[in-house]
Amino acid sequence: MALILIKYGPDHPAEGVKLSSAREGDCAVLVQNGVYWAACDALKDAKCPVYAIKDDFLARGYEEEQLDIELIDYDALVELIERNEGFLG
Amino acid sequence: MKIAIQVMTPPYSYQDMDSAIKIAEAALNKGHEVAIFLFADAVNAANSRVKPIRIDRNIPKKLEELIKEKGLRVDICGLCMEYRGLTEEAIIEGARPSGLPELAKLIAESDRFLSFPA
Repeated sequence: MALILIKYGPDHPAEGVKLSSAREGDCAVLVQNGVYWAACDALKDAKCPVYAIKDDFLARGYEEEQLDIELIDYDALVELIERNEGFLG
Repeated sequence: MKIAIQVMTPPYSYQDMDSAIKIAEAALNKGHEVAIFLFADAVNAANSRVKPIRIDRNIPKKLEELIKEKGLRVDICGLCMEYRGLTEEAIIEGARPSGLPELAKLIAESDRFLSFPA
């Protein structure tokens, strides 16, 4: 199980590769400009749960209910770090 | 649990250092051991002479607080410091010049390793 951290937006090809490489049991977290993926159809094809850091999401002008993505805080991110041995950054 | 976080990008130009600090603080609050390894331009996050305007956050000061109050470990790539003219006298209290062998050891000894690539 791996935690996949997405920090760049959809204009960054490597992030798309990271998302598409996700497997069942992994989880992906959108941080910084990575939260822009929340507005992309590409997330519907993700094979793992995808979360977004709430602070970064709100800082970029989105509203909580605007997009269908689970927003988490840093405590929840630490829980995901605890649960996932692997990391893809 | 031992958690190591590597940061490479310059503070204030990128958000990586802010993200690393928030993750580190949340993990420290949960009782984890946390080390941040500053590599390449991220070494400026440990420059005590950084003087942001008053309404902005002071990243080196925040790191120093986490070192003193919560036991954060901050290692700095020594070669990266030299490249940027950052002397030992100028780094924040509690941070320590380090190197890639130490980073390798840190990774090997950590339960979790996070990296914010450039």
